[in-house]
Amino acid sequence: MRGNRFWSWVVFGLGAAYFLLPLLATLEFSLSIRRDGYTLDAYRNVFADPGFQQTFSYSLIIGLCTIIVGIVIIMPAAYFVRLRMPQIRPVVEFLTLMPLIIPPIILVFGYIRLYNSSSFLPLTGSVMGTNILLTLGYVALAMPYMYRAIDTGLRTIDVQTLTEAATILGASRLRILTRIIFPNVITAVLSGAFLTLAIVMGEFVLASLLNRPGFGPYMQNIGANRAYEPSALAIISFVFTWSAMVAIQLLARFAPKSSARKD
Amino acid sequence: MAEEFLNLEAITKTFGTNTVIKDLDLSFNSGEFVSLLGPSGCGKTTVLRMIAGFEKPTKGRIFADGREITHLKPSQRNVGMVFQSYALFPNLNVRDNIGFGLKVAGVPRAKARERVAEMLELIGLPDLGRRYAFELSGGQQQRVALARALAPSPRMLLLDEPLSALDAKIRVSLREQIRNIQRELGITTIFVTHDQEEALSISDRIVVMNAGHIEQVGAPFEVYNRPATPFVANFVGTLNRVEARVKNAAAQEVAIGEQSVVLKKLPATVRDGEPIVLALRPEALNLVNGADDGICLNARVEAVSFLGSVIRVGVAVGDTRLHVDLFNDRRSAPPQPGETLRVGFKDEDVISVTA
Repeated sequence: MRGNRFWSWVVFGLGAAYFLLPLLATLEFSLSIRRDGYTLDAYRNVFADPGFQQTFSYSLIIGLCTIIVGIVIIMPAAYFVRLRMPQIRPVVEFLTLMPLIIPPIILVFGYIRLYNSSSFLPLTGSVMGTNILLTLGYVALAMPYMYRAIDTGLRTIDVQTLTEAATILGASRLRILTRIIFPNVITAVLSGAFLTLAIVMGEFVLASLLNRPGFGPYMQNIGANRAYEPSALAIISFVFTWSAMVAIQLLARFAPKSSARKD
Repeated sequence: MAEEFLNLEAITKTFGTNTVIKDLDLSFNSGEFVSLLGPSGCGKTTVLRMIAGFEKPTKGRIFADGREITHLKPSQRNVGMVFQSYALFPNLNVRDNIGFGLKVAGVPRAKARERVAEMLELIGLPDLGRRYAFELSGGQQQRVALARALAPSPRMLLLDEPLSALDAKIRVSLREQIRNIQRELGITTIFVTHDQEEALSISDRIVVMNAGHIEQVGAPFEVYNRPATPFVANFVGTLNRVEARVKNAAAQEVAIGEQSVVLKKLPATVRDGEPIVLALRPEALNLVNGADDGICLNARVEAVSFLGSVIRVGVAVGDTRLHVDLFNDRRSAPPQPGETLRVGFKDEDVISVTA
């Protein structure tokens, strides 16, 4: 037994080292801008850069819009598939995986071809239109994560019976979705939301090819022109993503609890 | 005579090519407690769901209070429903669960609060209004579900196996509570169950269903003691099937194994040598000491089960195994396995004689 535990710790240590050593190396490098010791200058430079603030805020806003649009589209879809058409769930699941199969570059060229300034819906003809297109593109990119998160949440509740219980009490579909179903899968929705935010914050291809000032292109630009600041940005980005993950874990504690008791 | 409240006329329900209900006619009186009883897959829940409006009949019509409701949405039928899995909304506390239907109906807040308090009193949980479903026992949750169904004052209450998910002891106390509340409110109630003891104990009438059709409708006493079909006889209560052969039809003599008895209830159509089956309830059989004016058979005790108030004795009459239910009498010891004794029954206690 003791031997088993020792080897478990060895495997765990090797795994942790594999992930943490590059991170520690990046952190160490980001602090080594001066020869005389460690300093946070690289971080100061990054935070002082107006480009950082602008692109970070831009991506954050687009990320929030993506989450809202994603929830509005995916939540009812996942709910109705579970409620009315459970037999087509494998098909829907496959469709939601498409963004993982199709590279974003193909997606964005498709968008540009379909929605260019001389098309029937010239979204790329204006800044707002391009922002909308970028948001919708991100909704598509985040769909595998958002759909799965929501669907997993729906699996934990008895969608059919809760819907019937609310229906017979006179509730409309919209009320059932917003007052009964959504609050009971909110933790799952939020995990999807944080994953979406993490994707949007680091996304490069769509923002770059649609020529929008996203955080992804900014990081790439800094990486091409500076030495220490890209490492600082990588650490900041990492901290941001991990904060989102921790938030998911914390929120899971507030999930409505199962109540199946026989006593 | 109670007024007819709900009518199901020639209802047929088909799922794809599978007909689960065929030409079913059924009516329910106002204020009546009716149980739909049958094995799994007999269509009882489908009937309840058609009354609730969750399923549409393929053919036939449903009337409530003289008005056709066949095509009305569930929310337009003014019925309350309690589900097997409680179906309390996990994100709402007890108070908000009970008040949900009132809020949807736009009942003023003060009035709704009053009604919720009244419902909490009714189910005997006046202090648990702020709790969430996961903080309640299964029995409490089902009582809250009952209060939630009753809060908007529906004209009919539908109970879809509400006790099936509960432990035996809670089941008994909750079924009594449900019945008391139903009597107090006088609400027409339809109760779906596959548990015959449950149906027998709380119903005004029982509808026994099998394979999508009705086998018998009647009061519990009638269904148990005068089953209309072999299925009802077998499904409701325990039944002994005594395999016999007509020995002499003219003399009404029947052979059970090596033994012969005279059976006045023998149908006139039977012929000598014909095999027949006698159906007898375990409580219709008794152990005979000394002389008896009924029919007696020699038997050997094979097993004795102590069930509390009842002792179930398994006996063998030739190759036929029978159950005999005896009241637990603390002054006399139950028979022991291996003992030989005489088992008696009366002619009129034979439920049916089938070939």
